[in-house]
Amino acid sequence: MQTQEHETPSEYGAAYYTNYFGGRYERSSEWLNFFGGVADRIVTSLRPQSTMDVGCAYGFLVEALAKRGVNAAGIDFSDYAISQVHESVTETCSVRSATEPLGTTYDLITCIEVLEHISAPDAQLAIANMAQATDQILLSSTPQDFEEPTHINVQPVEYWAQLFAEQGFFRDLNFDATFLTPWAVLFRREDTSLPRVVVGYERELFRTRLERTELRKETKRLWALLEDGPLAPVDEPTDIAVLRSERDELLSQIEAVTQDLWSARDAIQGAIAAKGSAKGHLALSQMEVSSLRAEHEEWEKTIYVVHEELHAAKEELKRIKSSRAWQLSQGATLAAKGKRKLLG
Amino acid sequence: MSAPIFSVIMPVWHPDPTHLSAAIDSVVNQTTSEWELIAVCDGPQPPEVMDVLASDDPRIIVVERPEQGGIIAASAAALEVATGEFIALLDNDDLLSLDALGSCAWELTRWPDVDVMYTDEDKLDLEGNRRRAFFKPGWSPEQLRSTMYIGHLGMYRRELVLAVGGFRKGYDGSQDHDLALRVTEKARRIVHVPRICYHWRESEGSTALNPESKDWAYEAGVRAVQSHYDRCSIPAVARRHDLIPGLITLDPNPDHDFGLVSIIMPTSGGAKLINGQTLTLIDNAIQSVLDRSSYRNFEIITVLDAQGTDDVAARITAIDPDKVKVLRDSRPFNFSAACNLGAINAKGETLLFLNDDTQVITENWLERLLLHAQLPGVGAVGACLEFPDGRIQHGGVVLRNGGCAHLYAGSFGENPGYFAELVMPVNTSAITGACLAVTKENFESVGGFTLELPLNFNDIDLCLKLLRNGLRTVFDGETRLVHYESTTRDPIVHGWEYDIFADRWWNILSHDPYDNPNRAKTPDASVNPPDTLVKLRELRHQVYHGRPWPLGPPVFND
Repeated sequence: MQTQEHETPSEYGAAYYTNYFGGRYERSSEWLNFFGGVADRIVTSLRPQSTMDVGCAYGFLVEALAKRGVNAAGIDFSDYAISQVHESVTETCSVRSATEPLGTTYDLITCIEVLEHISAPDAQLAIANMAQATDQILLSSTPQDFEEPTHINVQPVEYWAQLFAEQGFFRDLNFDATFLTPWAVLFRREDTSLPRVVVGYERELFRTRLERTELRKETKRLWALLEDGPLAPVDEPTDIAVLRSERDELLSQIEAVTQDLWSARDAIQGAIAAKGSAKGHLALSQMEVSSLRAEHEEWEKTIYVVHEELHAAKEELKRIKSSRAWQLSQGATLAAKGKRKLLG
Repeated sequence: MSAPIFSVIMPVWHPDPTHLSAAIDSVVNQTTSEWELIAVCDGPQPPEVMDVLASDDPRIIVVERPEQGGIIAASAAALEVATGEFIALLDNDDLLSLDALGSCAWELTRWPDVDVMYTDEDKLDLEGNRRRAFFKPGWSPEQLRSTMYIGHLGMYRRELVLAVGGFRKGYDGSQDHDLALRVTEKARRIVHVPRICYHWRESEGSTALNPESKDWAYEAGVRAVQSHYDRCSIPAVARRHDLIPGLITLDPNPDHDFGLVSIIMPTSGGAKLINGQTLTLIDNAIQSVLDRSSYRNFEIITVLDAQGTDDVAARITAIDPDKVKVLRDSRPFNFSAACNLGAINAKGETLLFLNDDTQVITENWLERLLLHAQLPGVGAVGACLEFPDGRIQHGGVVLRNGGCAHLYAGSFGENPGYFAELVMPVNTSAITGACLAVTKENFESVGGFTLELPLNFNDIDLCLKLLRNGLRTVFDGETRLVHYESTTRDPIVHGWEYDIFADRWWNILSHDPYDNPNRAKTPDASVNPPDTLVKLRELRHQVYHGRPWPLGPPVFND
């Protein structure tokens, strides 16, 4: 099989990585964290001593595995990409095409989002190379992203499964590789028989069917709820009922506080108005007081005048009483009284 | 000679020389000498007229215009030569009372910032008898939009008249109304002088005798009011009144969005026998609002008191679940508290308090009430309420002699009222709470209805609180509802209620700014409220004993 050598892969230069997936493939905390997480899962569940990342790009996974004590290596056919790897892994990452035999063996080979970039014959060659170098391969190749222009070989999962089966590798049905991508698969070299493979797949098929039936039932129930309208009796979780009553309680408190505030405002308005009215009363009373005072003064004057007159009259009386005529008349009166007595 | 206070402007056009002579004499004989009289001859005048105008008094200035240019051109010419602080308009056959200018000068010493003054007036009939006195209310912006009630004698600060552009062309016959609208829009203070200072001579063909004689003047008036609406962004269309000649009415602009109005109706869900039918009042009221209102952006909040059962609540909600909401209030009945509860829960920017024993008559009632309630400077807005038999139940509230009462109560429904005040929007001190619109903002600012008055006076108290804060009350006689009145409540007014009320408002209860001290003496009985006032006065010994206007118009002494 003739292989195409990509000695100068110009389409995988700096521009390719900065525009990767519409976002940047760069040394960012997101990418490092992601591959750190992937490395953790690989180390804890597969415990490889040595690994090879085929199509390692900037070598983030190699770096992460190396950090976790794994003897990790990587290859990529972009010399630009290899020029970007971290200094801790410059020795173990090299420029090389996946179509070339790997030469040595590894506990695990990872091949993440690589095969869709290679033509179908080259991909088959790469798989054969990997199969020669290890017993377990963690593969991820998108079955659905046809947008990316360098994706020249996007295939469904069963396509890859068939190629691996031809090499004696089968999906490890007990290993969930979705921590990497939803379509990631761990292929293991297995000396197995068709009946055993069927058993594995049947078991998985049954589990999936059961799950689907349950989901259908739940969907039906939710639809019925929606059709009955929002007022259909739903068993409310208690916390919602509690929250509702708390809300109602708060609303009634707001109502009461608002009413108190309004009452206070009303009291202020009323007090100011009453003050105004009191001032009006006061002004009228003051008018009344001053008119009474004037009247009072008039009366005092009158009293004074009367006093004067009285005094004068008394003086006059005194003068009259001391006069001769008065005494004479008094004498005459007494005489008349005595006469009346005598006549009795 | 230094500038006088008053420039009396008198356009002259072919007057009866004896009438002209009397008019000039009425100015010359004024008790104050702070005036100049500017007589503008509008085109050549007969020699007898010119003889009367000839005078050696330097205060009389005669301007002769070679060609007749109409009243506006003549008035404008007079304005050009006037030097006084104020201008006053005098027709060439009318009379000023001897103290006209003196009374105004006295007001000026009290209010130096006054820009417009107006006095009461009456008519001189063909025999020279005085009749039909018009005792005007205090400054009523809403009334001026319907009729040139300022009329004569109107005094306008000359600087302000010039600032607004003087007399405008194109408003012949209503040029004074147009000027009054434009000047009062800008005036700092407008003072009413409650004295008859102007005698308007009726003559054949004059508007004084026959309002229909000047159709073109009427049209000019409609245009003047419309241009006022446009200047003030009032969303309304001015038009002639259907029944009263000379009166201008308004239609709220149908495209204008007045926002959501929350109609708040306290109720106990009671029923009453009306016209042989047992009517559930609240159902009837809600149904009439739903059926008759042309404005549709409203919600109805009923506040059901402790008497109301679950059945009543369910029935009310069922009338229209989208628009009608029921609040339960289990506290002892307090009209104020119930209204406030409704207001707190209202979503509308405007609130409309409506009794449950009402029924809508006029379809555009909501637009009209909202239009006025949302005007700047307006607080409460009310409507004319009728008994089911068509007699008037509420025509505004007047405060007089230490009490308060519904104007026109018991009068016949077609009564246009004193100078048509029952068929147009006017200002009163207060209105009934049976139908009261107010913006939520204004309602909140004075703390809503006072809880201290659970049954009576809370509505008047609210209006007076708003009034004290510079928000006038509007009574719209063209908005009408039926009010079955106090069928569900104890109609008795208690002494303690009056005490609380009068403690607050004693001052204004004797000085209603929209009442006129002389109006109570007019022979027209319908103008004055029935004997409710007397009953109120009996409630309290320490009331104000009817001394006329001892403290003058400063209504609120705070």
